[in-house]
Amino acid sequence: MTGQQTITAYLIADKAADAIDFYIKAFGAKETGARIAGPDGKIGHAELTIGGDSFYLADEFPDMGARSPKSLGGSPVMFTLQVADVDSAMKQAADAGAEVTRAAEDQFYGERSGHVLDPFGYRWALSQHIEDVPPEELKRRAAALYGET
Amino acid sequence: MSAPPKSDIHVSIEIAVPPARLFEIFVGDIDRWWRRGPEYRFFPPWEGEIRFERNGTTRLVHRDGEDPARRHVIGEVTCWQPGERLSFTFRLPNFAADQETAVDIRFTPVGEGTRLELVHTGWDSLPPDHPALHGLAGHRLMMMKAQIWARNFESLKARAGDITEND
Repeated sequence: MTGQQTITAYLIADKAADAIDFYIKAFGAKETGARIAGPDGKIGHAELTIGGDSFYLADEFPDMGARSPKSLGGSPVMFTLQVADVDSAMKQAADAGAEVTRAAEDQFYGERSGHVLDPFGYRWALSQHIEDVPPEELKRRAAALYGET
Repeated sequence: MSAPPKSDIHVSIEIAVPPARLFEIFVGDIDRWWRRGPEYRFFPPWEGEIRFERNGTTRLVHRDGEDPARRHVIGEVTCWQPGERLSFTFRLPNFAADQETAVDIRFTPVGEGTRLELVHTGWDSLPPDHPALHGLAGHRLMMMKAQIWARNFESLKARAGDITEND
């Protein structure tokens, strides 16, 4: 493990090798660690890095409790990616095969963000910081949107 | 054709150093990148020196830093093709005389760098109660043994980066 993070996501994917290729194309990931595979080619461990943060990835091994969103019927986990240009990042992800589930739009809290579902069942929120919103203004906008509480 | 044993290990890594230079670093600097500690070295205090020794045949040896006569022959080189391929037999100190495994490493050019691919076979030839297997078999055994190579290769990657920065 090359990363020094305290918490690291470990994604299980149906066809992990394809997932690695996808994350490289869609999000500019780099495969930074050593890849471990069994004699059948199934990946037992791989390490990818996006923008300096690492995550791990492996194929499904149901007898070891490692099952992918495809066999579980989805994933309740959403990852967030902070990007410099969310519109081009969304296009890059879609061109690589992701499904856009929410188009990018400006959010009241100062981000422009959109959502994609990747071909392996994981959801990603892509977000670009567009504005520093002072607390009072944030409160005013939230009230305008959701009403006073 | 029967399926390959489930414990065969495949570990690969890409390193931004050309194959010929990476091969030099692999064999010439092996003691620096081969990690220290009980998972990686072969006898206490889990330090000493790992090196290739030529004397008729070429052997991969772990020897004590203070007493070079205290040593473990990890294996004999069976293929030495600089920049392309390195193979050797691989034994742990608790192997019987007729027990050994085999390591085969390919150096494949990828762009300006190298894809290093290791295949380590033979763990399934040991009896199931062999202490080297720690009671594991199949995928679990493969993952345990593969982690050691993976960490070593990540160490090699870091070391190769440090060295070639100054080339």
